[in-house]
Amino acid sequence: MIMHPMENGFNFDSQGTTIPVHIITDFVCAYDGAEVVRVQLQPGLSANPYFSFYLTATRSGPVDFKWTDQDGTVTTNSAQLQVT
Amino acid sequence: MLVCASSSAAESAASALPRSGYSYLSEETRRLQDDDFANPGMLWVQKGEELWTQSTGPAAQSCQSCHGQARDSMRTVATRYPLYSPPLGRVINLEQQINRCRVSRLNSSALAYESEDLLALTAFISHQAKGLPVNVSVDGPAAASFARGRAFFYRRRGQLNLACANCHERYAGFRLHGETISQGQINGFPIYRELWQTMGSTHRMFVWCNEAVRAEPYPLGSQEYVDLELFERWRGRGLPIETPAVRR
Repeated sequence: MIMHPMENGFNFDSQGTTIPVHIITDFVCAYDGAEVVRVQLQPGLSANPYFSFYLTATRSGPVDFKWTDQDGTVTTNSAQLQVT
Repeated sequence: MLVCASSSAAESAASALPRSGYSYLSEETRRLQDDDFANPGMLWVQKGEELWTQSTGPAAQSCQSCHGQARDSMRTVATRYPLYSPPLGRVINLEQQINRCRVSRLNSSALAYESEDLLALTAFISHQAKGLPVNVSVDGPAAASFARGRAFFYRRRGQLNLACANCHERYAGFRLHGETISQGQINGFPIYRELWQTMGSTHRMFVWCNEAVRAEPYPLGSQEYVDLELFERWRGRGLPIETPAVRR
């Protein structure tokens, strides 16, 4: 889940001016270096998007999450997956 | 005969047991609230946890410097607020207590009401009390505040001329357009409201409700709303804290 307003560009503020589009455009998840999920997001998605997917854990390694805003801002997060 | 029947129905509605907003939700929304990984409100709880340990002010102290682990020290706090503050001589809510701590203990700045940081801290602290019953004190020095809150709840207001009680007491459980009217309990606040697509405090909800009956809302953090908050908590006494609750 990502904390993000996902403004679709169709909303107005209290002064009546349009709030510009502000969305995440790409979301990528890599497991031990290999890409496992890639998502392209569109303005129709609601705030704080939540992704849920299956991943077969075969070996220990980092799970890296990376998402890109439309203005190019890249945010990353990582978790270590331990297979015993 | 008809008048008699309706007045007894009103009485039974008024004496009805407190019922959390949770029980009026659809199954899907309940599932969203119950799963800590899917509940969007947990984003704010997580942020609040970071703020709890983050140093601020000239002495570079954090909430944790005095209070230690929130898990222990804040376990029951949210069940007691709004609470009478002897130095201030009035009842204050949790948001105001957080800001009082920040200003007087940390010599830091007060957070703006309804700011992301204040919502996050309030949600984090309230979350520690999850599952514990609401138990506010309404006698002694808090009695005057409580009486004002009760009066607010039963006073008609706005162009639609409705009191809180008209919907949330008399017609709780009935339908209003596509919605079921809840009792208006506040045991899950701050809540993640799907309509807002973000977190909101009790006072934001009061403002929303006041505007819905076309009444002039009071400012966030005003004493009128703190009094109402106290009455509302008392009305839902015994209900478990659900923060962060998910509501429509």
